[in-house]
Amino acid sequence: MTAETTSPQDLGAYQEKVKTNRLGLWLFLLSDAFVFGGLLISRFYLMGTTRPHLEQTLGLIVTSVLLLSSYFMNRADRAAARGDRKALNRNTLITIVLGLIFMVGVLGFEWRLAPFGPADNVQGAIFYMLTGMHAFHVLTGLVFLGFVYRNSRKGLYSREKHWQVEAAAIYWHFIDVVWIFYYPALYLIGTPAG
Amino acid sequence: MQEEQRFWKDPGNLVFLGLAVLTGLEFMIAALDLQWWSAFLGIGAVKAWLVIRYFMHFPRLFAEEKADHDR
Repeated sequence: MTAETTSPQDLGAYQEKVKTNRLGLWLFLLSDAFVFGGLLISRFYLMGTTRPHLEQTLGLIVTSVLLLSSYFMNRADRAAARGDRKALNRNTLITIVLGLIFMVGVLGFEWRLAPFGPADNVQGAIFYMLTGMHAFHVLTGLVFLGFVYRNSRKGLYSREKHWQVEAAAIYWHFIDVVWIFYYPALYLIGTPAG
Repeated sequence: MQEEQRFWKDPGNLVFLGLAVLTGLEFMIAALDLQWWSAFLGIGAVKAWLVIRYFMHFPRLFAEEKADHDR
């Protein structure tokens, strides 16, 4: 991946740092999960057995796109672990493209097609808050992936040192996990509100 | 044939297939208007576990670093 060789002492110190970074990242994700969890609870508290009246096919499409992006992000992560820079670049780029498609699907289509505005009623407030919060995280994830892609093209990652790639992958998959619960909560569970 | 065998041996592929199947199942349950709330919860939990365990590598949080190169 790069011509840089790492001494065992450097590698040991790097791995210790990665362990700490990893713990820090997971703690951050745990705190972020409380925010998403709170919004999810508010959905059920405010809407009960009803759900927003949304376009089902579009919901399935954007969900599939996000799951696919997670698949390619995993491939990118594994490519970094085995030192395959070409595969890392390719799969990261695919993930970014799919993430952008997801954003367009939600913000460009779903938000426009929704038969309510954010201030119209409870449906609107819930829908725009949940999807907006999630989309903001997708956006920051895309920015993160952009940096990873740029750094990878510069050859800054190696088989031994690629923590940024792993961190970006963990963050991206976290966004996917949030949508795993948000998709049924918004699109599937309950009867469409009148 | 070998490519096909490689496909099925790749955990990433299997996890993705599992996620796709479970998502399809969720959609079908909703489309049939079955209102099985516990099914949605269970499917969501399984999907989340698959992603957290195999894509986010949660066990790595507790593992020794020397195993990293064997991914």
